[in-house]
Formats: sequence, C-alpha cells, structure tokens
Amino acid sequence: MPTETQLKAVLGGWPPAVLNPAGPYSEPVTLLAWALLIGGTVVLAIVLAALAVALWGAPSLRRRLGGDRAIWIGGIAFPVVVLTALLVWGLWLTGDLAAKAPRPGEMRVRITGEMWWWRVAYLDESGRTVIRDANELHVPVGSTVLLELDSADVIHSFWVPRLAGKMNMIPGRRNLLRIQADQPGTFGGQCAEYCGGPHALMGFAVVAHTPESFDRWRASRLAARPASVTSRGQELFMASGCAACHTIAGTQAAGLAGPDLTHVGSRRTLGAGILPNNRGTLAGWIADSQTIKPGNRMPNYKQLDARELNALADYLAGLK
Amino acid sequence: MKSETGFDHALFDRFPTKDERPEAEEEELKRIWCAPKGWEYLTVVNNNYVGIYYLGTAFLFFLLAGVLGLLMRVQLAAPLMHVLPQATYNQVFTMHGTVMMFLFAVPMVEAAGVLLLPQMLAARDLPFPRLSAYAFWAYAVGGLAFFGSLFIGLAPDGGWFMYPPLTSKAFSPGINTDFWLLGIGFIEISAIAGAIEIIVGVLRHRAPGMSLDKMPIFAWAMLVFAVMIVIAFPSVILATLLLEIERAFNWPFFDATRGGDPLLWQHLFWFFGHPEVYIIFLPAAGMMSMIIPTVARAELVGYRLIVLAMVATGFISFGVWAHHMFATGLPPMTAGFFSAASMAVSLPAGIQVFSWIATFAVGKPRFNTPGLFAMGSVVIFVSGGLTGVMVALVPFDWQVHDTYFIVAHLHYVLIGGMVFPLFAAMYYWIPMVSRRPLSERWGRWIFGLMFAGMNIAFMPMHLSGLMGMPRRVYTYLPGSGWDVLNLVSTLGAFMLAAGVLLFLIDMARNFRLAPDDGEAGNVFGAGTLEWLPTALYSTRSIPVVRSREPLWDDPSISDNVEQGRYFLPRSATGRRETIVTSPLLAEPQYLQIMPGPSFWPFAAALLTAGFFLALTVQAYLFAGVSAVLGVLAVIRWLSETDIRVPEREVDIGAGIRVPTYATGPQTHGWWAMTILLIVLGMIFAMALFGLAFLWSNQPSFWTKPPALSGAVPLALGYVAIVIAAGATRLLHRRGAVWAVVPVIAAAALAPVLLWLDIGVWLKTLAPDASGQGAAVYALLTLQGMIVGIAALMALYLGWRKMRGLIVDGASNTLDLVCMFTAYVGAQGLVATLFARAIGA
Amino acid sequence: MKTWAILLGGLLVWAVHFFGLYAIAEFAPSRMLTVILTVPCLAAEALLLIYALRLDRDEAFTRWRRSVAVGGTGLGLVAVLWQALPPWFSG
Repeated sequence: MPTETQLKAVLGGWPPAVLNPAGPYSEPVTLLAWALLIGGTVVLAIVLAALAVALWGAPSLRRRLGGDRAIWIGGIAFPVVVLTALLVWGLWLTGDLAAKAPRPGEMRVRITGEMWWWRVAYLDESGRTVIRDANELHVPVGSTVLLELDSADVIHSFWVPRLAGKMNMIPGRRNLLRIQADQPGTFGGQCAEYCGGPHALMGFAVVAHTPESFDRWRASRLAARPASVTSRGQELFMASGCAACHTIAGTQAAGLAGPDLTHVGSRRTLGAGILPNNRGTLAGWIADSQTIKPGNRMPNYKQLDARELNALADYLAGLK
Repeated sequence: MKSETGFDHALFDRFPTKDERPEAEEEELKRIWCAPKGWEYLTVVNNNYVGIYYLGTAFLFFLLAGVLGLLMRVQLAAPLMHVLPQATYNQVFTMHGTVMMFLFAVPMVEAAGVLLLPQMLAARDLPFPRLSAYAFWAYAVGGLAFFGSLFIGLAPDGGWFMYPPLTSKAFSPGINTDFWLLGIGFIEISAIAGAIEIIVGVLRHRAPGMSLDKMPIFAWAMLVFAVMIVIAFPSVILATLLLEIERAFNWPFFDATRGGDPLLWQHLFWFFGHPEVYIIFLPAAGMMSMIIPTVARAELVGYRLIVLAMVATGFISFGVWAHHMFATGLPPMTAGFFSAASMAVSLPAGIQVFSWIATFAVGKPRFNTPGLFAMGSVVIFVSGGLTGVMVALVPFDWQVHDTYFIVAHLHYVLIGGMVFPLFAAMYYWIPMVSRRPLSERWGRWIFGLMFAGMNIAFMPMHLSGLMGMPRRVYTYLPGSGWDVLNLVSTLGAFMLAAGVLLFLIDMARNFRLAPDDGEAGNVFGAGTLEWLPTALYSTRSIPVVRSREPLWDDPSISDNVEQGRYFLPRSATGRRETIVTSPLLAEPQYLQIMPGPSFWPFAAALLTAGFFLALTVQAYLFAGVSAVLGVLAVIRWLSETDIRVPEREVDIGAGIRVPTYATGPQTHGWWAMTILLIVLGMIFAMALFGLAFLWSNQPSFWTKPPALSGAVPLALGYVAIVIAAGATRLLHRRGAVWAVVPVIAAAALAPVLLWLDIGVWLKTLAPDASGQGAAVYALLTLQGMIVGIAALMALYLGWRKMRGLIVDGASNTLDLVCMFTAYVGAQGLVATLFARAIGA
Repeated sequence: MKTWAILLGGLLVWAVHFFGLYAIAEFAPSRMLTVILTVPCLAAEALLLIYALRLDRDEAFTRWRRSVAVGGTGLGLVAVLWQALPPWFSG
C-alpha cells in the first residue's frame, strides 16, 4: 500500500511555471506577464500615492488632486493610452499564438480528456492513430507539435504552463493547441477545468527528448511487441477482469475504457500524474486506488492477496 | 425651467409653508403606518421592516458562506489534508460561490436599496410594498431550504457556474444539481421583483424637485443595478430552465452527441454572470460615493462623471461575458472583441476611483470607521481591477485562467468592491436605524483585522496561481511548492474571519433597532435626505429638493420637514399614500394609494418555495397543490390593489392639487408592466439566440423546418390577438360596457394557436430528437407559460368586471391585462416565424 | 424620451456596434463586414459628440445632461475604436 508521501506532484516548484517558459509558445506570454505584473504594481503605487496625498498631503498638492482635472488625467487619459497599447499587444499576440491547421510534416497528437485521466494518440499525416498512450506526451525538442484536444465526457482543460497557455477540451469540439519545448526535460501540468470528483488529481507530463532520443523512443513504440511469455502476472491480469477496460498490445486484453497499458512500465507516473511508477505503487494502486484517488473509475481489487498483487505488479512494471 | 409635465415650478416656492400644522395630522400618520404586533411581523410590507429583514437574512448568508470558505481554507492549509472528503469539498466550494453570489451579494444590495431608497428619495415607501414582502419571503424561505441541502449531503457539486455536461443527468444523476437549479429559481424571482420595485421607485417616487441631476448617487447606482438585473437575469433564468428541462425530460440542449452544445450554457450563464459582478459592485460603489463626501466633509467631486461611469458600466459590462471563455477555443477575432470591451469597462471604474480620491483631497477627511473601510476598499479594489486588466488580455488569460490567480483577482474585486463598502455602509447607516451607533474603537480593530486578513489570505494566491495551482481542487500533492502559500492564505482567512466575528459581537452589544423613533441619527453629519428625522411613515412631510445635499445647503430643512411645512404633511385620503413624480424633473403628478400589511404575500411566498422544493424532490402532487394555492394567494393579494378613493383630487400641500387615480403610460403600474415585459422579452430573445447558436454550431444535426408559408394563418391569428388587446383598451376608454370581450377572446385564442403550432412541429421533429428540436420546443414552452398567465389574467379581469370593479373610462387592471395579452400575441408571432426561418 | 436619448445615445451606438460585431463573428465571420459596421458607428459617435457639445447649458439640469452626453459619446467612441482593432490582428 502506498503511503501518502509517495504521492508526488508533476507540476510545481520554483520558479513559478508561468514565469519560467520552456518554449516559443509560452515565452512571449511570460514577457507580457512580467510587463503586466510590473506595470500593475507601478500603477497601484501611483494610485496609493495619490490616495496618500489626498489624505495627508500638503494643501497645495491636495488642491491639484481635488478636481475634475485629476479625474480626467488619472481616470481617463492615462488609462486610455496604456490600455490601447496593451490591447494592441494582446491582440497581436493572440493572433500569433492561436493554433491553426496542421503544418506539413508537423507532429500531431490527439489528447482526449477523460474522467480523470488523459488518452493520448499519436497521429500520422492522414490522422490515423499510430501510437496509443496515456497521461504523458513525448515530444522532440525544437519542433512544433500540434495537439488536437477533445473530450470523452465532460469539459476538461489541458494546461502545461511551461509550454503554452491552457485550452479547454469540450465534448463535440476539437480545439487545437501548438506547443514546442526548447530544452529536454519533463514539464508537468494539471487539468484546469473543474471536471467533478477527483479533478484535483488529474495530472499530466510532457517529456521532451533530444531528437535522437525521441527517434529511439518512437521506434521502440512502433516495434511490434514480441508475443510475451505467459507469466503468472499476465494470467492474473486476464483472469481478474483487468482486460475488460485495458489494452495490452500483443495479448487478448483489448478494453478501451481505461488507459492503454502496453507500455505502462515505462511511464513516469501512475494514476494520472500522482504516484511515482514502481512495483510498489502499482500494487498499491491495484489494491486500493479508491483511497488514493477517490471516485476514480477503477474499482479496488482487494480480493487479490499480496503474492498475487506482486505478480501482477511485476508483470505490469515489466511492460516497458 | 422648462416643465416636463406642465407643472409650474414656481409653485415650489410656496414651500416651506408658514402655517402651523395640527397635531392630529401626525397622530393620524402614526395610526396609518403603525408598527406591527406579534404575528403581524409576518404581514408587514413597510420598507423599514422588510428592508431590515432582508439585510439580516442576506448577512446571515454571508456568515454561512464565509464559514464554508473557512472550511475550504482548512482543507487546503497543507497538502493531502483530510478535513473535508473530496465529495464534501466539491459541495462546499459550489455552495460557497453560489451562496455568496446569489444569496448574499445580490439580495444584500437589493436589501440596502429597499431600506435606504425611500428615505433618500423622501418617499413614504417603495411603489409595490407587497411585492417587496413577497420577494423577501420567497428568498428567505427558499434560500434557507436550499442551504439546508448541505446538511443532508445533497448540495450541488458542479461549481457555482454549473457547466454541463458535468451537470447533465449522465454525469450528475442525483438531485444535487436540481437543488441548485430550482434553488436559484427563488433568487431569480426575488431579484426581478426587487428590480422592478427599484426602477419604478427611483424614477417615480423622488421628492418633488429632485431632478435627475440632484438625485443621490446611490439612487443612480441602484437604478443602473436594477436595469442590469432586468437585462442580465433573464439569461440565467432561461439557462436554468433549459438545463432542468434537459435533466427532467431529456431534451438535449447541451448534449453535443445529439446536436446540443455545452458552450450554449456558457454563453447564457456568463451573459448573466459577468454583468452580475457589476450588479454587485455598482450599488456598493454608490454607497462609497455617498459615504466618502460625508467622511471628507466635501461635496462629491465629479458627480456627473460618476453618473456617466455607472451608466457606462451598465452598458459595457454586457460586452465582456466571453472573457470567461477565452480558453474554449474562441476564434481570435471573437476573443479580441471581448478583450477590447473588457478593457473599456475598466475606464468607468477608474473614473470612480479618482473621483473618490479627489473628494478626499478637497475635503477634510476623518479617519472614522466608515472612512477606514472606504479607504481600504479603494486600495483593495484597485488591486483587483489591475489584475482584471491583466486577465482581459487573452494570452495572459490562457495562462492564468482557472488558477488561483483568478481566485485572488475575484476576491480582491468583490471584497474591495462590495464587502468593504458594505461594512463602511453598515457603520455609516446603522445610526439611522439603531438607537446606538457601533463602537468606533472596536471598528478600528475590526477594520485592521479584516484589511490585513484579506491581503494575507488572497495576496499569496496570485503566486500560487502563477505556480500552476488550478482552482476548485480539493487537495494538492506534496512537492508542488504550494504548501507555504496555502498555509499563509489560511491564516489570513482566519484573521479576516476574526474581524467579522468582532463585528458580530459589537452588533450584539450596540445594535438596537428603533424603527419608530429614537435612532442615533445623523452622527456623521451627512447632507442627504435619509438623515431627515423619520418615523415609520418616513418623513412627516416630503421636502422640495433644491440641491444634492439639502441638509448641508438648508440648515432649517429638518425642522421644516418635521413641522410639516412641505408636501403631504398629513394623509390626504386616510390611507397609506405617496407622491408619484415625473421621471426627469420630479414634478408631482398624482397621489399613489399604497396597499397596507397583508398575510397574502407571505402565503404566496411560502407556497412558491413549497412549489420549487417539491419539484426538486419530485413530489409532483404537492408541487401542483402549492402552485394552485400560490396563484390563488397572489390573486387574493391583488384583489385589494388598484383601488379608488372617493376623493378624485386632493390637496398635497400649499394648495397644490393632484389626482388620486391615474391611468395610462404615466402610471407606476404601466411602468412595472413594461419592465416585466422587457424581462419576458429578454428571456425569449435569449431562447431565440439559443436556437440560432445551435444552428450555427451544430449544422449537421439540422432538420429542415416546416415551410414558412404554412405559418401564415398562425401569424394572422397572432396579429389578431395584438389588435384585440389594443381594441379592448380603446373601447373601454370610449365607455363600451362589453370592452373586455375582445381581450378575453384573444387570451382564449392564444392557446389554440399554440396547440396548432405544436401539432405542425410534432410532425417534423420531436423535442428530444436533437438540439434543434429541444430549442424549438423551448420557444413553444415559453409561449405556453405566458399563454397560461394571460389566461389567468383574463379570468381575473372578467372576475373584476363582474364584481363591478372595472369602472369609468379607464382602469389600470384592464390596461395591464391588455398590455400583457398584446405581448403574448407578439411573442407568438415571432416564435412561429423564427423557428421556421432558422435553417430553412 | 429625448433626454434619455441624449444621455444614452453614445452608449447605445456602442451596444449596436458590439452586438453587431459579435453576430458577425458568430454567424458570418468576415473582416469586410466588421468594417461595414464600424464606419457608420464611428460616424454616429462623432456626430453625437458634436451634437452633445453644442447642447444648451443654461441651467443646472441641462449642464448636467450635456456633460453626461459628452462623456457617454466620448467613452463610446474610444470603445468602438478599440473594438474595431481585433479583425486586423487575427490573420
């Protein structure tokens, strides 16, 4: 059973993610954010100074503040100038950042929000799924990736702050979001639109590889899985009903309700970005996921004893 | 001065009169407006009582929702806390937002209006006292029952914004969501009723001579507030109705798999939801603009600009709703329009802030408790306004939307823009209703705790948002780096709460209601009319207003008012009455006879609450019985209104005579009906928008509607209804005894036409077949509702006719029934044609 | 009615412009249409502003009415200008 201290965030830490951009779709926003935060602080200071003068200032200063002219300058002229500049900046940046149709040869990934995890499908040029995964996205450094965001149930919101602003995933719509990572690393994110139940525990990670490392990752995913040797864990998997919801390529397990587990052993996290992934946490999750993530769609498997859980966890951890 | 109504302004110079008024006049006023005893407290309709009830109840909800906020802060004080289980937390945060917005903020400012406006305008009461009482009781009973759902674990848990499909039957099968939808029903009713009351009151019940440019700024704020409610609330009324229909009858308005669209809800909700913020802010800003001149002992600088700012806010706030939807994938051009309007709406706010600062600058500010809260409010509100400008920029909003940055922003805006002004207002106006003012010494501590606590609680949230913490999370994981910030926020929240607790204790120590006499009075030396000496009948006589701060400009006015040397120093007809004046220049027009206390508004409110609650728990029989009895109670209450007194014309002071009964477009009843029809028209317009929106967003689900040409007979029928309604009014004025026949026939024709239209549609499309079907039948449902109301009105009119209550050449009851019936015809016509035109 | 039209004219034009733009964006997105809407709205704001500036200011009430009208059209003018910008930045 995992203890709570084993739960860990994929997102967070210092410096604040929004102010620590890692790609060209977040960097200009960070610049805007700094301008706004500093400019806002300056304006606040000016207003406070004006208030202080009004309350305690010298009579001559107060006279200058106390009339329609002060309102015209402070309340109308100054804001009009500043806001016009900001509006133009914001509009220009909006047009610049908004993702339009895929560019030729661009990597496309469809991410579907589900209660409460993320279904990930890597698409080819014609939009067919070539790799299935869940709760993490692998991208090569330095290339743009077009994300096609949709939802299987309620509204979710995809947000990896170090790479781009957020975009809602809405049933019946397909929203586009372009990202690019300029440095290798893992970038965390979390569902930003309240989606009921354990909305708080719906994390995501983007893993940016160097181009060579990404090609290796991709090749490993595309390689046909050798017909696996039957193990005790695999037998349990099939016998306990896991296959009704999960797919493991190369076996009879072809359920579609839950995350694809073909490569579950190589994922960074379990339970959608909330547990580190190892045999212990795998066993704990299977036995009692409802305590770790209350309300999630996977039932507890308390009927399995410790030996069985270990066998199952061994098997799953081995699916690299 | 050019007269508005033909009234000679020179007549105002007759006041103050010189004669001594007999003692007996005041005794009679006291008798007519006497205080209730025992059970009569349930039947009072006088604004002095209803206003206090209203304020007390709204403040109770502030405390309750505040406790919910504290519970949330405890749960979030550290990662993975176990104070509130996930499901409970989701209910608690939903209720915190819902109760603060719907059960505290809107009713609180409306209550302030009910209590203060008649005093500020020197009217005896608001124009529809029984409607006020009804609105209050429906809100109080319904609101408390709604809050009670939390204790049985059935409180809504979809967030105060209730986005489908999370709140649709598929993902929220329990009745929690229904509690929200129906619970909000009361608040919608009471808000609309209050808005009608306030618009008519501000425009028609001002003291003679109080032209628009001399109106207290709070009255301006309340006027804009009420107009905004009339435009904004219909949208949420329709939205809640549609979602409830979708849940109960499976009509797929918001179901994308069947040609509905979840974004339709968001448009409808935020078209209400953002103006709602200004609906809350404007009255509070109006209070600030009343308090600051008194605190600074100077006239308000920039009165004209503030009026402009308030009116402009009222307009532009309707162009910002989609800034809550920047992350839904709006095309950049659309998002740009909303971004531009969101910028524009910050200008009026800036104008008001600088006016306040300028007023402090010209005056000699006092640092008393109302002053401290007003100054604190400026600081907090400006901070919130600046982050508001930030999130109006689309790219920045894409980052911080739905994070704790927004939680910080909205609490700065609402606490700075509404809660602090409210506390300033309570300190400022409590001496008007209480024997003792609140303690100034305690007030400083309370302000200090609240100001510091507020900033300690919400300042760190800007940072936790920038660090990636999303909103509406019941917990967070270790290692996120958010824990210190959250702990600080929790400590700040308790500090804020400690301030409120001290305030409660001081209220218990010092607040002693004095509705009749003996209140502490004008302790701050203010200049506006609410500080005239008053009793339950308000002022002894109604002064002529010659400036914006009459008490400063005419030191003898209080005495003259008290001695009865102005308008209406007695009851002219022996009943409750007040002067109705013209909307621009406040020239006396006629004397309104006001209804007195009654059990029936209270009964009608209880039955309304019973109806909604029974619907929620699916006790349909009980709901039906409540509905029927509720309608009967309303009719019973109405039957005592629209009365005539023997005196056709009376002297209202200094020999000025006005009629005691008036009809036509100048009457308060006509105005109220017009506003009600605007509300209905807005609900209907929103439904039309819904149909067009689904057509534009889900074209693949569209079925070809029936041919437009086939609707010609129906259209002619609807035109006939409009003509018949007009004809009745005309015939009645000409003295025809049978004049009511055409309008009653029209009310009978309306259901037939609707029946025929439904028959045509049923051959084409079922309501649960697609979003189009749902939206078309929603139009027909709305039509069905008003057809039903028109039928009730026709029966009531017929009953009054038979009782001999419709006499003479003019009758308000008849006029209003004709107006409503004509509207039924017009709406039916548009519905018939529009539903066939979209996607034809 | 005339006084209300004077007081609210500038903001009413703003409302026509804003909801017109929203309808264009929602139902028939086209930069050209936004121009066709914006030009008359700007002209109307400008004319209203000139009209408002020339209004009587002989009494307290008319002085007040004039300044609210001038402010309303001025604010409306700025807001309409701002709203005219987005179509030129959305490629």
